[in-house]
Amino acid sequence: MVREELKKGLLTENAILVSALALCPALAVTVSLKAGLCMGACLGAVMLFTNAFVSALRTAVPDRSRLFLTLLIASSCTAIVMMLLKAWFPSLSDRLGIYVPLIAVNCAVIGRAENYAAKNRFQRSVVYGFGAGIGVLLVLCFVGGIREFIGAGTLAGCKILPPGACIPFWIRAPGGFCLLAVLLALVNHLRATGKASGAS
Amino acid sequence: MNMHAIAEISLAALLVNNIVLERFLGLCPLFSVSRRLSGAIWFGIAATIAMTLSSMVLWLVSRLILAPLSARYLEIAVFVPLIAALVLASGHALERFAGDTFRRIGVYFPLLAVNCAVIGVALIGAGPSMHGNSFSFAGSAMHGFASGLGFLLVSTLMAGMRERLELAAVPRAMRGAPIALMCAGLMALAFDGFALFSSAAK
Repeated sequence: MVREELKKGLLTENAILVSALALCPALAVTVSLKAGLCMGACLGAVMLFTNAFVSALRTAVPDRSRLFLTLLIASSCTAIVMMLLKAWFPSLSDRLGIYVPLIAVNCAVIGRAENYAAKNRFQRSVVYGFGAGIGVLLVLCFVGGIREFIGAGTLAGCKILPPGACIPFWIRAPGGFCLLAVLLALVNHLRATGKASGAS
Repeated sequence: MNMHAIAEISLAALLVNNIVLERFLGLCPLFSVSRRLSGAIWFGIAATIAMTLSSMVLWLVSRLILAPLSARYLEIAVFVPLIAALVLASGHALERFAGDTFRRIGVYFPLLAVNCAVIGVALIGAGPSMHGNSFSFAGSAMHGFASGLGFLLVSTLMAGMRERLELAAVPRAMRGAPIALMCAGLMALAFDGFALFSSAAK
């Protein structure tokens, strides 16, 4: 059960690559590996804890008020993550700016909690949320790493490419859109040819 | 607050820091409503109303309630339910009291109640802005209004493009989200040209 749920969250139902949700954080802050890693960790943590709390409370709340409860839980988790980020990594927290508070209304977080955690048992939801969180983290790191490498010629701050060889287009907004488009097209192609694994 | 500052805020929010193409907010509704031109336009108008209203209310809440209590860290936990309630209520009010034209906008308000673009614009308006100086009340309202117009502009352009795309031979792997993202990327490249305005003004 654990492996199957993990794989579902991580690969076959990957929030960014397969469902094309959570595009805002995937594009906005992923200009370096470090920023991608940090954003991915925040998003993943909020996903995990929102899934856990929504699933634990699912029988206690009537269906009609569940969306409101999900919103409250997601925004409280986000507020905690924000405070921790500000205390531990103040410079990163400034750089990520409004995108950390916006995790609270991220469509992937709310969607996963509403469609999955509200209908499944606690352990199952936690495992699924963990897988989905790691899946998002990996994609954000990957996108951030690529953009930093070909856009600025560095990787995690170390210089790799000579200054003439990098293309600043990729760390600007249009480059983000185009890179993600290519990535999604690649995943579409792999899924169509039946080799969904290895996508991320 | 003079006219020059107002004009600068609105031009920046409309073109230079366009909410969709430079700040990447509101991508999910952009791709879902831009299938048809009329849907894109009505949704853009609804978004403009919601963004203006929430920018004004959240600026007041943030400055008059949260800042004196030094509880700015609670911002997001307070804003999310507040905006959801505000947007839903204004949607109901529009449907109830406005004429038939405006009734068509009302159906989009539930979609806007939990939306990263509406909350993001309000957060930018209420918080310290990127360059250190924060917005005044009028500035925040204007910023919300112009950001909404920016969304309207991009979603209308996007809808026009997608109507053409339906007739084009798109490779199978690129169909759907990838080609829409690629179009958005090319549009963002064009909008990057507006950044020259802001550097020329300084």
